[in-house]
Amino acid sequence: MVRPVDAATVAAVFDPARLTLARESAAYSKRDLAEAIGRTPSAVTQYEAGLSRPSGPVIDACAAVLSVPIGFFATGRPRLQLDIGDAHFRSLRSARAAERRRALTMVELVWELTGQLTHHVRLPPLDLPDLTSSLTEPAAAARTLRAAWNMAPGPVPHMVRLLESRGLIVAFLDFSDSGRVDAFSTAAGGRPIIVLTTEKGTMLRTRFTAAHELAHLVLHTEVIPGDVAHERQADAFAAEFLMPAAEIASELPTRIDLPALLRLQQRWGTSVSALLYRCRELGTLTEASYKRAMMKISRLGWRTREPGEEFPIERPALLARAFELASTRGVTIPTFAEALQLPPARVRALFGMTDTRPLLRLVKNSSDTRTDHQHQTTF
Amino acid sequence: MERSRFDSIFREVDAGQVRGAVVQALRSGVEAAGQSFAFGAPRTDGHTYGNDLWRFVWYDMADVLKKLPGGAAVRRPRGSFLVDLRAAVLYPFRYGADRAADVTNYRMVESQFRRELLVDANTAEHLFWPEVVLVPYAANPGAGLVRAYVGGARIDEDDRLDWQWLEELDLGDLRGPVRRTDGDDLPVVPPFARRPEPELELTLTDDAPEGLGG
Repeated sequence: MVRPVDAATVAAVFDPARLTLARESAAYSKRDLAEAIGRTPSAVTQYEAGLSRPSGPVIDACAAVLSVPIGFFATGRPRLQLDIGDAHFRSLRSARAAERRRALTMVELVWELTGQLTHHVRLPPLDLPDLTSSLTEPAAAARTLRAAWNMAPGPVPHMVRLLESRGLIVAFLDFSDSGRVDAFSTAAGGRPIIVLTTEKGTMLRTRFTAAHELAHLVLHTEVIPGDVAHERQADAFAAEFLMPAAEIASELPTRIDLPALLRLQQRWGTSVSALLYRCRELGTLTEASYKRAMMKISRLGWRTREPGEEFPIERPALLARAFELASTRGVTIPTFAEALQLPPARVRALFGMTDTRPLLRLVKNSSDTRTDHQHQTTF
Repeated sequence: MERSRFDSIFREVDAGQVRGAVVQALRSGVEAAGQSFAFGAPRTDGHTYGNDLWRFVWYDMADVLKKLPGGAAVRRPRGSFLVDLRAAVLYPFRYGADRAADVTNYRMVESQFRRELLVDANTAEHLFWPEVVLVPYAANPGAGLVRAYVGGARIDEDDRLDWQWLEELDLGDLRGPVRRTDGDDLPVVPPFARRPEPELELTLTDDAPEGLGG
């Protein structure tokens, strides 16, 4: 691997796609970046297209603006380049293209991190049967997968851990303003990656979302982002996976009974909304009763947050535990930071670790009239 | 005042288990009511804690007690609720908000049903119960269930309850017919998550790559 020592060296081995990755990851448009580094938008376009090569000072400026080491822009490291069409996005309307691109850059970085990690640790082998050819009915596919995974009857105790135990990577979007990006998944990099979000998610909803994304991975090898039929199939799969009809049908109320639904919510780990939908699907509630019940829980505010949901969202642990194991060999966060050419804080975030160490806040001297911004840095 | 007749009323079943089941039902019903109130009150005009208690405590009383040997049935005289355990019917109500509230000084708002239940019981044809066991409890949205009793009483002319016997329940008594799903650990581990999680199989590779800390 190239170990650049200065910006001029990096300029000689510049990888255009790395600039795009860093820019999109930092949520900069080409125009914003051009302005920040004192170049024109067309110059940035030419750098990213490989039509021209940035000079050393431009590399330095890009690294400073985009918060990556200069070595990030060098060739020589394996790279996954995802397109929006490579991922199962729920809707192409809810988020801007730039927001989805930013989310995809995180997947690309998680993919690189996982690749580095597997030099040290064997992750659980991928156990994800392809159910596209033999079954067209999502509920049947869910039952088949539960059987193939030897799952005990009853509720799924930890949906995220289950996915990880079968070799899937689960990550949460690590930027805070991700409100318009829904969860998504992709198998484009080989080992599937499911990305969940915390912004809209409650614990129960996140479990259902994880099962929904699992459905896309086993049912939909052809990615059609936002396809309504695919989304419905994924919901049907998730409902059966988390609440098998054969087990839950006799427990569902036959009238609008919120206390009973709250008990089932606690027993099955699914939201009252999902349970009501299940009641309608399995015929324990009529369409009219279902609608009345949904209006009722809307009035109670339960569509936003339900009682009995005050549990922490299920968090992935696979990458962090793999790092812990690797660290017994003397591998550290800076080891990965150097390998990936990323700031250590970003590496920790990709591992899903929370950095509890205090932030060092550097404040520019007040006599400096050029700026009064506070600069915050983490190590 | 006779201290307690609970054991003799339920002498043909396990009175201790009935006692535990009542505690279970009160605790879970009050907790569910608290959750409902916390989320419903800020969002819905007219949402009251008392109404939540009414619904959730009754539901849980019926749900828990029906699992007792011999079962239980819900009776709905005059639109109200009674849990019928054959040996007696149970009638829970909130008498106060905190432990300091005095159950012996409680003034019950009179209704035709309550008068029939507590004055004319055994005479009104539609209210023929072998025994009426009141289940007064104190609860508030913050602390949940703080005190509970079982007892027998009549309403005097001043609408006060004239207690013939009264026994305070031990709120730590969980000898009910089903395993508890509430308690202090509820906010940490929900019931569905109490089963073991799948293991993550991780092993070190045979050789560490050069230059990566190995």
